[in-house]
Amino acid sequence: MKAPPGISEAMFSEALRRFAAVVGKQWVFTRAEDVATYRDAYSPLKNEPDEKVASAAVAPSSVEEVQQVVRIANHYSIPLYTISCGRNLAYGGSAPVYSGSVVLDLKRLNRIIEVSEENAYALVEPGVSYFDVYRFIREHGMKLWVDVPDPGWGSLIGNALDHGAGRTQLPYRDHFDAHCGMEVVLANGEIFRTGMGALPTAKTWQQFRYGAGPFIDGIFSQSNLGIVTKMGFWLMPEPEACLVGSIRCRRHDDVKPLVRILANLTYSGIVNCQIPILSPPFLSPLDDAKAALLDKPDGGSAEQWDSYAASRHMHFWQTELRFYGPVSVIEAQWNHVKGRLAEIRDVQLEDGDLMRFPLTDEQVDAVAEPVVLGIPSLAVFSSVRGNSGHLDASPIIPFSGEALLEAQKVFAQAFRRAGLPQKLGFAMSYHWRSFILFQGLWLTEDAQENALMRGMYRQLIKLAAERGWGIYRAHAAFMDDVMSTYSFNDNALLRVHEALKDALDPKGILSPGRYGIWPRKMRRAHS
Amino acid sequence: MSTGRVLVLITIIAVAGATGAPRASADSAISPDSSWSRLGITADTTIQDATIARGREVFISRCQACHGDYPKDRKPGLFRLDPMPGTRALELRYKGTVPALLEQRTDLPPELITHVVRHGIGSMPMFRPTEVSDEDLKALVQYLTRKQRR
Repeated sequence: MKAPPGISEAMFSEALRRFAAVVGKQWVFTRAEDVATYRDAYSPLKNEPDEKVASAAVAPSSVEEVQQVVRIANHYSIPLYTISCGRNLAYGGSAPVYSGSVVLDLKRLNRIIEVSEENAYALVEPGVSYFDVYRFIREHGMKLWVDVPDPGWGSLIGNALDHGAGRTQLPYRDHFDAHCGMEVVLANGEIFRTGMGALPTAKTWQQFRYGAGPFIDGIFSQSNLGIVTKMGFWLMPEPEACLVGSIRCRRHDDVKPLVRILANLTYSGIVNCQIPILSPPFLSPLDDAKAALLDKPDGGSAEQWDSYAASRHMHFWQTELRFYGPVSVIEAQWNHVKGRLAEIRDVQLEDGDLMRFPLTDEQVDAVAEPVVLGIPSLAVFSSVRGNSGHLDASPIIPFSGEALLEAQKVFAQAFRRAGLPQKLGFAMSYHWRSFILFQGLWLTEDAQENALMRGMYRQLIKLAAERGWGIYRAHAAFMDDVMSTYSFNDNALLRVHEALKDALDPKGILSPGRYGIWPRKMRRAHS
Repeated sequence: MSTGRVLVLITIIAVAGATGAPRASADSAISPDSSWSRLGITADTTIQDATIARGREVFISRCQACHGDYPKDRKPGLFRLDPMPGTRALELRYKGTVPALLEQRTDLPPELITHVVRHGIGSMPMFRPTEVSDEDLKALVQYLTRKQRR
C-alpha cells in the first residue's frame, strides 16, 4: 500500500482506520489485488509507469457515510476520486485522474428512491445503473422509458454528470438536460440540495429545476467541486409506437440539403430523434483509390468521391429516423419528412418497422437496436472485440452538411497521414443542434502501439480545436489537453473553474485534475 | 427469506397499496454483500443449494448482459452490433468446440473464473468488490462449475 503523494504513511494509515470506522473495514480496500480492480481497464497508459492508479478505495453505503468520509479526507488532506458505477470506459473508468488518490466508490449508494409514473421522473443515488432503473420500471409495469446510453451498466448520475447521452428523443436523451434536482456533498462534508430541493417542504424537486437564485447544477458536471449523492431525472412516457424511416442519398453533396432539412425539422420539433449519419464511402476500409483521394489537398472533390462511390455501388449517405408516439401522429410526421426530403434527387425513403409497446420479453430479446427503445444493452462492446479497449475522441461538429463533409475529410486525412486505421467515423446528433463525429482509437497491451494512439488522440484534439470543433468529453489522461483548447481570453474559463475550486474545496481533496481543474497547490505542476 | 426478497416484497406491497397515481419508492433489492439488484430475477426452483442460487443471481445481474443467449435470427440494426458481445466473442474463439454460453460450460476452472472477473480479459473489464463481492464471486464460481460436480 502506497500513500498518496505528500501524505505520510502514518497519516494515511490513520485516515484509512477512520474510514473503516465509518464504512466497515470490509469496505476499505487496501490489498493490492482489490485496489487493482480500480484500474482503468481501457487505459491508454496500461502497464506503463504513468498509468493512473489509486492508492486505496473506500465504499460508503449512505450519504451520511459519504459526509463522514469526506470530513476525514479533508482533515488529513487525502485526495479522493469519486466514481459512481465506475463504468465510464474510454473516458477513464474507475481510475483516478491524479495517481495515488483514494477512490470514493459510490456503487453501494444504489437506491432508487422514487419513481413517479404520473409525472414521469426518478430520484436515484449514484450507484444506480440504467439496467437497475429499466428493471425497476419493467418489474412494476410502469408505462415509462428511461433513455439509456450505449453501455447500460453505467450510472444515471455519472453519465449525466459527464454529459453523456442516449438515443431516444429529446429532452430525455441529453442526460444532463433531463435532470431535475441534485443533492451535493461539499469538500467540508456539508450537504445541500439544488433547485426546489432547497425548500424544506418541496413538492416539486423533480419537476421544477431552478428554485430561486442562481442555477448552479452545471458546476457539478465534468468537475470536482462537490459529490452528487442524489439526482432527479425526467423519464419518457412509454409511447404507443415507434416508426422507423430509412433514408439513403446517392451523392457526396446530398448531405448538404439532407442535414439542412433535418436540422430545420429538428428545430421545429417534427424530427425529435437522434440522427445517425453514416457514409459508406468514408466508413469503408482504406483502399488505394480512397488513399489517393485523401492525399489530395482538398481531400477529394465531390465528383471524385461520387465516382469512387459509384464504382463500388455504394450510396454516399445513410440514416434512420425514429418517431415515437401515437401511430396517427408518427405516421404523419414521417410523411411530412418524406415530403420535405423529396427535393433531394434520387433520395431513397423507405418505411421501416412499426413497433407497438409494451414489448414482451421475447420481443425485447429480438430488438435489433435496444438502445433506441430505451432498453439497456452492452452490445456496443462488440465493436471493441479483439482489442484491450478503445478511446473516443468526440468532436462536436456543426449541424450542417458542409461541416460534416469538411470534418469527414479532415479526420480521414489525419488518420491517413498517421498511417493508422480510422475507426468509428460516423456522426450522431446525441445532443441537440450538433453532431458528434466519433473518432475511435483502439488500444492494445502493446505500449508502443498505445503511445501512437495517445499521440493521435492529442493530434485529433488539436485538429478539431483549430477548426472550432471542441471535444465535448475527454479520457482522464487527456483532460488537461482538451481543457487547454477552451482558451478564449487567456484561458479565462479555466481560471473561473479554479476560482470556484479554491472557494469550495480549498484543500483540493475532491478529484484533483478532473477536467483540468487542479487544486492551487498542484496547479503549477500541471499548467 | 433473504433480506433482498423482503425488500422486494415490501416494495410490491407499498406499490400495490398506493392509491391514485402509480408511484413507487424503493430501496431496490440489494444483495447482502454487494450492490446488485434482484429486481426482475425469478427463482430457479430446480436449484436447491443456496450458494448456487446466489451465484445464478450474480450471473443474471452481472454477466448475462454480455454472456447471455440471443435469438440467432435477430435482425441486424444500423450498426450491426452483436447483442451479446461476450457470447459472440466465445463463439468466434472456440468455433463450436465448446459452448459459447458460459452457463453451459462444464470445463471452466474455478481459478479462471475468479481471475477473469477480477482482472478482465480482452475488452472485458475487471469487476470491483463493490460490484461482485468476494462472497458473490465464490457463489458465481459454484454456479458456473455446478455441472462438473454431477
